[in-house]
Amino acid sequence: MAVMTKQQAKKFAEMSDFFIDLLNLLKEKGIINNKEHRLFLLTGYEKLVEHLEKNKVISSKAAKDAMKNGFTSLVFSLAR
Amino acid sequence: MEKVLIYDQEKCTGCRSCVVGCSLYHEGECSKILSRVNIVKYESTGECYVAGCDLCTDPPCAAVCPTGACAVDPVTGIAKIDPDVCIGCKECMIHCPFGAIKIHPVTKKAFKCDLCEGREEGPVCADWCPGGAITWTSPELAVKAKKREKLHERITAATKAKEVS
Amino acid sequence: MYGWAGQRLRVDLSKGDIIKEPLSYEYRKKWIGGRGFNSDIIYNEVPPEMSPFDPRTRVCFGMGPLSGTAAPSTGRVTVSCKSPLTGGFGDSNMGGHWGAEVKYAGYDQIVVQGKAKKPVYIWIDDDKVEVRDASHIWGKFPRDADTIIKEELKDEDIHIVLIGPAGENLVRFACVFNDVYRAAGRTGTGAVIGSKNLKAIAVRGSGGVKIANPKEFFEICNRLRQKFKDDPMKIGLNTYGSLVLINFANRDGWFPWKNFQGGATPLANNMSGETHSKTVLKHREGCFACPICCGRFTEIKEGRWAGEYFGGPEYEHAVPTGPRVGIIEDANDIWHNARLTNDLGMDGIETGAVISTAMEWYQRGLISAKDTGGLDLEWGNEEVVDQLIQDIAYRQGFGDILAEGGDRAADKLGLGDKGHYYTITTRGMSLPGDDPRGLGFGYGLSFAVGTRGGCDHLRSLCCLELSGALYPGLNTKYLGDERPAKPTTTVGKPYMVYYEENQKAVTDCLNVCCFTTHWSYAVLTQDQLDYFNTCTGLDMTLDEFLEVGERVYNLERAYWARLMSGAREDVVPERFTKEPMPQGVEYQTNVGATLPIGEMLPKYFKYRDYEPGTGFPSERKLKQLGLEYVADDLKSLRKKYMSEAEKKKKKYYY
Repeated sequence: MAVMTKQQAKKFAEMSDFFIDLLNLLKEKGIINNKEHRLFLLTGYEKLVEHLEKNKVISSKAAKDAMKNGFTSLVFSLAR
Repeated sequence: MEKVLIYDQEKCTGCRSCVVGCSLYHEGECSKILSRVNIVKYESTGECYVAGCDLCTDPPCAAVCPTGACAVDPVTGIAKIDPDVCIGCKECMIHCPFGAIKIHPVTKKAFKCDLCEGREEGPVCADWCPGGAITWTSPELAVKAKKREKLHERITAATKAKEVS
Repeated sequence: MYGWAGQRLRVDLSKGDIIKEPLSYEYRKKWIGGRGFNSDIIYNEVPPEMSPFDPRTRVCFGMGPLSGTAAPSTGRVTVSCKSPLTGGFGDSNMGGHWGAEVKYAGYDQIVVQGKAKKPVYIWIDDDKVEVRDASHIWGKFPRDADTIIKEELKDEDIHIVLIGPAGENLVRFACVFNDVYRAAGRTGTGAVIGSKNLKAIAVRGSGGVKIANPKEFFEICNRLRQKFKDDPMKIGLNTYGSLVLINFANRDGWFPWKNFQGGATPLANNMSGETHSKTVLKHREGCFACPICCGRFTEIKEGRWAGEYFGGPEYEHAVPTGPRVGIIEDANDIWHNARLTNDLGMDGIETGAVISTAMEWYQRGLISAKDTGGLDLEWGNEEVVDQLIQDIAYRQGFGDILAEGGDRAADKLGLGDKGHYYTITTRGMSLPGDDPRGLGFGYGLSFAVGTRGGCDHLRSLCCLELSGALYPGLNTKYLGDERPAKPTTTVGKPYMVYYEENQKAVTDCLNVCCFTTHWSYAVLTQDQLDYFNTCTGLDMTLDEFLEVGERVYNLERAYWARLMSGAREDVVPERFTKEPMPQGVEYQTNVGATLPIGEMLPKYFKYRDYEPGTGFPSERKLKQLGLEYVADDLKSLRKKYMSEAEKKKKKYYY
């Protein structure tokens, strides 16, 4: 599922502190709702990745990569 | 080799991990009074000791018990108290040189260490002790380890003394 | 009831009332315990305009549902008050075994209010509570008062909270202890206790803590304790104490040298944990149920202080009246000074901070011998430091001015902004021995915004940027990025501080030791949730759990907001932003660094959902956290904070 463009992904990858911006984008695109935005803000990255995998926004492989290589891998998975 | 609990008092930090682990394991509740092992401390001078069952080969507690409730278990080698037979006379408690026997606040019977009978990893106190003050080992191995530790200390001190002079 | 005892003990020393208040399920779910219970009481019962020494003020001792259980390190107690040092929200945390004993006696929290007519101590013997005469122990060192009380009550196994002479003399940063040497050091709680004519609280508890799911709870505790056995931070802390940090601090330039003029010095190893363990370590100590046991017991063997002994010191206790005041050559001087601040009952950090500030004023000619009563405040002068520590505790001579804390002392001496430049405080509270130009930019950010006075390493304790590097993948797990696992980068720090502050707050509500969840990360947030749920029988989710931390944090932030403290005061001492770190040793890693706080603050505000102008928690956030009454309190104050009159005001809070 393409949640952002490759351009956007590149911008994210260059960010110094990305998390809340990513959550805001996911909420904007309707991938997560208000409650979930709040939940992931509190509980962190791994919980977000688990949720995206569970809801098939990203593949299992992408989820694994996201945990191994961090958010730069995640945002490019979200750009496919 | 038969295993026993060895208490190395120098290593006791007084943390009571043994105390709280013991009570939780045996009674499902965390407390000091339900624990089979105790810590004795002098906070201002920092001295602390662990007081637990010393697994006497010829235990006074069993010897003084009038009903036979307290007897050496042939499998574990530790004196065990059968609460159904115990009459709560407290003779074992008074005669234990280590203060390792207490009276249960609810049953009013004597209770003591049973080496966490059946626990695969051995007694909880030794398993959880962060300082190595309680170990679950054979007396022979414990003595060997202590000898090496003390020898190492003496050699280090002697070398230091030599350097200074 | 599982986990909690289910009641609060309130002692009114003016009226002589002893009240037991049940704590409802809803209340316990909302605040969990410890710091949560305390912050709620302080917010509701100690209004902004009240003097910290007003008899009506409260001092709270909070325990958590896990206190006294077999989870790792459950002996901690949070002590909270309106701080005499800052005039704002204050709290501190102490280890030891008293907290467990109070749970066994049947209480989750103790609130003391009012003022006794003469010195007293409180004796809690399970459900029997009485107030007893303490005139025979007033003025005594904690170690002596402890012995006397135990003799009097005929029980060596009880645990006692104590203040020293400094608390009795209302030194603004006096502290409180339990088990003689375990200190709740910061924010002057000892002075509030002393102002109530209260010397001690002795406890005997013959009960226990009931566990909802004992088998599962045991399994979790056991699994975590196995993990600690070869945990790298546990091994370092157990072997060398928190002094294990000394050589790392020196290498990475966060070692507090001469009031933070420098971050490293060649002789730092004189006071390292390694050196300590070979020279003065008498034995290792552990707080209740701790798998780490980082406590030390020190005995000085040589030199002019030979024969002195005491529990401690921690890193933060030893460095302020050591390298921070220029003393490093003879480590025995450092141990002796730590022994003194313990016996006198003062925060070692503030004591060393105010002396080092005075030394820098002296160095730069802002004060002279005529201000100091003839004392020669040369860096490293042990005679003077030894004298001053005592003069501060007994409010004599120049010590009487320093007993007010650095910022008030600067004003009393008429030193103006120039004097304040050297006080190294935020919101009136001093920075502990951790230079943010080296310790970490995450820490630096949290110094500016912390809710017990800022300049404080324990509001975030964001060790993800320090020991986090020992746990590969941990930063990615929480933050999505491994790059923040490095102190001197701003990358990922706003989120790191937000996450760690919330997590630390809920850790303080449980009242377990943060060394098990920061420094060592053997216990992860999920583990805490698991032992919390199996202990109490609740079924909280991870976000509900962390939300409690966020709630407590915002409540404390709102306490400051009511005192007109917000975004303008979110600053670090200018030294850290203006002065590049000089070189102290050739292997130092952060030469030239300054703290780029400006890059991180705005993003952090976004995470916190603070209003950009005031820095107050937004109405939206407060409502989300169930703090509607707080939102109402702040409604009229937002405009006031932004007014010209407020902008011009001098900043401190009482």
